[in-house]
Formats: sequence, structure tokens, C-alpha cells
Amino acid sequence: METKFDAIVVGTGISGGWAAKELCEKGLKTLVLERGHMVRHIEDYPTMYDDPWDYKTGDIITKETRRVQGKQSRTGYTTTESSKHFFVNDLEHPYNEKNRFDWMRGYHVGGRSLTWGRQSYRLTDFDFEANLKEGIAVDWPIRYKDIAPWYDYVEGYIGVSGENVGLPQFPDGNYLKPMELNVVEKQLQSSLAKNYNDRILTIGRTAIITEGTKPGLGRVACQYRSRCRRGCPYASYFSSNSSTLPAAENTGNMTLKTNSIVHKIVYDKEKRRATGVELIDSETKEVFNLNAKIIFLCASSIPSTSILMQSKSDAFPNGMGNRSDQLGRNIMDHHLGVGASASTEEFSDKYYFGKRNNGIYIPRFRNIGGNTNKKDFLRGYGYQGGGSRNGRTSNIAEYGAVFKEEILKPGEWKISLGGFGEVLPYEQNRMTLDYSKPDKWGLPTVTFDATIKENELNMRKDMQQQALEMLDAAGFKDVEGYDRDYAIGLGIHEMGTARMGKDPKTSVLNRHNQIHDVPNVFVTDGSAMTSASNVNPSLTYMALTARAANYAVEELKKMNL
Amino acid sequence: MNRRKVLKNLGATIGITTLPPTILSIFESCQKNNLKKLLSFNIEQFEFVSSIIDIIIPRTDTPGAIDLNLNKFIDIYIEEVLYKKEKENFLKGLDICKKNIQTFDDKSLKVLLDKYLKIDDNLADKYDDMISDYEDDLKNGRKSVLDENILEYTFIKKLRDYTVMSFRINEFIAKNEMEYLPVPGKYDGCIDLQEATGGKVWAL
Repeated sequence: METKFDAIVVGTGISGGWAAKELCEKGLKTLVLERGHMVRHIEDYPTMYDDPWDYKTGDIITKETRRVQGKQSRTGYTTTESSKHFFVNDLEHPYNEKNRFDWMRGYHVGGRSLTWGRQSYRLTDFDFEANLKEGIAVDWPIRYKDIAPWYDYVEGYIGVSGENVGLPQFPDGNYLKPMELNVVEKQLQSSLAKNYNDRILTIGRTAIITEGTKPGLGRVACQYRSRCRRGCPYASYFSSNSSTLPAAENTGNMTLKTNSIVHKIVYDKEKRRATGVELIDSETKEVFNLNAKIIFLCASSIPSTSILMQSKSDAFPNGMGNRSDQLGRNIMDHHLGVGASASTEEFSDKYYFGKRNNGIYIPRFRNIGGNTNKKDFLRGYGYQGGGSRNGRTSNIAEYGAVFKEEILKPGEWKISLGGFGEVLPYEQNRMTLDYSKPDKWGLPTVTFDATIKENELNMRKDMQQQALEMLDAAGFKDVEGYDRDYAIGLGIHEMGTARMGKDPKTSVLNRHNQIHDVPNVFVTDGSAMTSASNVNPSLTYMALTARAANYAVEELKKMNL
Repeated sequence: MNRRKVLKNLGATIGITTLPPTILSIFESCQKNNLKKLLSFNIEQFEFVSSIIDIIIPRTDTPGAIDLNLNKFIDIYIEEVLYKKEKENFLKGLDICKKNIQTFDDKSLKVLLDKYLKIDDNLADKYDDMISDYEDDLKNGRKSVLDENILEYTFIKKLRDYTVMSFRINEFIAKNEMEYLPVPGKYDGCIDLQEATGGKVWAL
């Protein structure tokens, strides 16, 4: 095959897809590398129409799945029969845990863009300025104004439905028509409006088309089947497979190569530039060297960082771009699994039509100035959740003919609020490579050593307490709090391991996601995050990627790279 | 929604406890073929479980648990899904119930079901606490046992849960007795229950 390209993109997930599209559309001959197998839109979504009875024990996680995908099953939802094929086999892809670390991922074209939660929120200057103001870690090298136009651009392209509510800590965006709230969610919404002046409830902002079409492979409005994670035949939710990769393909500039495990970026000390990548074919174990003028690392936080760590040379004895010793440190996630739930006897004559795979959102209301500031923790959290009405648990009969009829009627309405909290960047929360436990390709495995600490633990108390109070104030009954086991990674938002910053001595990437010391290598996935904020991160990865790609092409034209 | 009404009317003409012979014969033939390869239960255990779930979801003008092969489903479920210890305790509870009841007639089985499904709330709380203590012990590598009453209680509660769960995800029930609409095409967050499903729960 051809071995010289204008650009190489490593990874095909939410960031890699965007890098591929932007670079190809700007005319660069681009090689896109994926370590896993091909997943073609629709034809490789084998379970998209399945019903529970298509599986012998229903669509649940089986004992055998827990054996081969034990870590992937830790969420309790990722590896059901209909979605387990989009997550890795833990026996083939081991990692090491000094503390429990949940690393859920899929090795295939599209990566986690096929299985993501689709919630799409913007960071704000409350996030970009927080580290500086509080003296935590390092300052972000960008502010909201730098990324806002890219949020507009990405939202417009992928299609995000939602509602503009005009809150400074929850900026308005470029949204398609919002999905509707159901009757119990409306009850909570009006109760918050009546009882609180610091918080509101809105519908989740989700990367699902609710009106019209979007570019890609026949992307049309949602049919409300609620089977997103299996791949959508209508391409209503955004994925690399249905949107950005086809756009890249259409330019004629993309070469997509699967089964390609990139493990090293090759560096030319004289030119002070990367010259290409070294990869292993996952099937044949053949090694390839492929060259390009620029490289976009979009393999997701842990793999991108692992590749940089393995890219050792005379110039970079501790891994490429690791002069700061920050590579692999500051792992963050969003801590969750804490909140409250309730039920109500009201609205028994109301129901919903269709299955809305989206929930409610209560934006952050802590530590945004004035009375909102808390003494016992920094930063904030939002809530996601929703109201639902499933089958009745009969209290008329315990068994028999009447029981049989009762359990086929809708039961009481339930409502739940789950907190999504910011995790601070801690240097000691880190990943390292273990060369003594190589994987089946002879590459080092990743070892995690990361935990949440006092700030997060204090925040969790408030997350539960506020959820209890809000549900109580809304007049619901059976209000119960919960705080389940949480370990870093359970949010599937691992990030921060090659952070952006102003100073090469304390950060890996600059304001354009370039490695400070290797300007033709861009890292635009979660590893770039300087702080986590409390919102779902994928939209930010896409915006950072589009912004960096635009910059990279300009710099190439100026012969600066 | 029209489809549902047609089916309901069809049901009304068939009358109570009678099923169309074609439906019955399909269910029965499946069941006989499968009996030889039970995964979790021995024949006696399988018959005991079958008698209980036949009481939980009896045949009425629609198929019951046995017509729908839920006993077979549960046999597979216990083997394919439950953790080793969970399965062990489920079968222990089953055997204790079976031993204590001796005859499997409706009356004795109902007494057994009433004992644990109509259990006093305080006692249920006490049992639930003891079960979580037991689970904590196991998690922390300590030896622990559940006493017989609790094993019985857990078995009966779980068996009913599995019966209800498997009933609701049964294709015949989902398509005929619940509102099955795999491609709704739109979302309406607040709609009258009767208009939405005619009072039924959504399947799926």
C-alpha cells in the first residue's frame, strides 16, 4: 500500500471521525487507522431490530458475558446480549488496576460513537477559568470564546436537540426542536420553578435528530425505538459510522485501514517533527511504518496517552511530549451513581407514546458565585434522570388470574435524579505502562492508580441531599436516596492524561492541541482536557478536533509544520 | 391500536380457559422436546417449579406460564445468568420448600406462596437485612450461611420475579397482551392512557 500521506488520523471514534472529515474535506490525503474491525453503517448492526425474545434469556448480561467481558460489564448495561459485541473482550485486552478502574471501550470502526450516551453540553468559562481561580492544576489555555464557534459548527452538523434556557453556566446552543417532557417530569419542573430560584429543569440536550435531516448516510428524525446503542438504522443519533466517516470517504481523500494497532509515533530529531507512525496488523502481526506531514491522535484518552508513552526516543526518553512528566497523570471522569428516586400515585390516567432515549437535565447550580458557593467542595454537578412508567407490581393479588391481568397494566410513575459531578485533576491519579505484562501483540499493558478524593466525596453528599429535597418538595412519595459504588471510569468519560496548558513544563499540549515539543502531532480526544467540568464531554472533543484540524491545515499552508 | 382491539375481540370469542388448538399444540410440542435437556433443574425440581408458576400465572382466556414455557425459560435463565452462589441458594431454597411441603397440590402450594408473598412487612425487612448482611459477608470473604426460612423466602420471591419477567418478555404476551410497537415513529410525552395503549403497558 501507499506509505506517504498528508495526514494520519489514529482512531475512528467521535474525535477520529471528526479529524478524518475535516482533514479530508480540506483536501489532505488522509490515512485513518483503526485498531479494530470494520463496522459499516446498518449492515454491521446485527441486533438493531432484535426483541428480548430473540435471546434465550432475554436481553440481559449472562454469566458467560461476565466471564469474558467482566470489566466491560461493570456498568450493568453495556454488555447486554444486544450490545456486547460493541465492547472488547477483557481476556484479550487486559489492563491492571491498583485501584478499581472501569475502562469500558470497543475496538472497531466508530469506537464508542456507536454506543455513547449522546448527551451534548458545552463547557463554559466557569470551567475554563476554574483551575486558575482556585489554583488547581494548570490553567486552560483557551476560553469559551475560543471554542464557542466550533460548538456552533459541530452542533449544526451532527444535530443536537434541546432547549435554550439562557443560563450563564449552561450556555445556549444551536439546537433542533427539543423532545417533550412527560407528565411527572413537568411536575418536577414546575415545582423547581416554584420552590427554587437557583435551578431549573430542562430536557436533555442529545445528539439525536428531531426534525429534518443531517448530512451522512440517510440521517433522518428519530423513530423513538430507544435501541440506540445497537446502531440506528435511521442514523438519527450521531455516530462516526453514519456521519463523519462517510463525509470523509466522499471526498476521495480518505484511506481507512482497520486492524491497525498504532503503538509508536516516529520522531525525527533533526527536523524536530514526527514523521509517521509504526503499527502492528492485529491479525498478521506484520509491522508497518507509514508517513505523513501531520498526525492526529484520536484514539481516546488512555490509548492515545499509551501511544505517546511508548514513543520513546533519545529526544523523549520518557515518552513523546513528556518533558513535563504530566503524561498519564490527572485522569478524570465524572463521578455518578448518586442521587434519589421517588414515585407518585398521581397521573395514573396519563402515559407516553414512543420511547424517548433521552432524559431530563438540571444544570449545575453550585459554586457559580454569590449564594451558590459551597464551603466543603469546589466545582459542581448536574443531574440527569427522568420519569417512567413500567409494568405494575400488583398489590391487589400476589398470584393468580387477577395478578396476571394486573402485571400487564402500567404501574405507578417513577422518577429519578442521578448526579454527574466534576472530578478534579490530581497528579497522583495516573496511568503507567507495564512492560512485564505484555498483551498478545507484545505491547505493554496499562496500569491504573486513581481514586476520587475528599472534594468528590463531599460533593456526593450534597448531590444526594439536593436530589432528596427536590423530589420531596415536588410532592412525590417513597423518596429514597442512593449512593452506589463508584470507581473512576464508571462514567466512561476517562480523560485528562495529556492535558492542554500554556507552559510546556507543566502540560503536554498547547492551545491548539499540538504537542508543545512536536508541533505536527495533535491530540484532540479526551486526553487533552485540563479539567473535567461536570458535563458530558464528547461535544467538546468534537469541537476541539474541528478547531485543531482547521488550525493544522492553515499551518500546513503557511509551511509551519 | 386497531390491531390490539381486533386481538382482544378474538380473545373474547374464544372464551375462558380455552385456547385455539393451534397455539396450544405449538407450546406443548416445544415443551416436550425440551424436557430431556434441563440445564438447572432435575425432573422433580422442574415439576415443582412448574406447579408453582402455574399458580402464579395460570391459564385463563390467555396462555398461562406453562403454556408459554416459562418453566423452561427459567431453567435456562438460572443456568445462564445467575452467579454460582446465587444459583446454589436458589436451588437450596427450592429443595427446602419441596421437602417441607411434601404434596404439590394447589392448596399446599398456595399456603407456601402466601407464607412468603403475603409476609408481614416487618419480617420481610428483617429477612432483607439478613440477606444483605450475608451478601456483605460473602463480598468480604467471610463465611456465612442463610437459615432455611430465608432460603425459602428468597426462592419464592425470586421465582415470582423470574416468572413475571419472563412473562412480560414473552413474544406471544408482548405482541398480544401488551402494546407492542417496535417503531413508534414519534414521541408524545403526555397522552391519555386509554388513547396511548388502551390501558395496557407498553411492551419493550
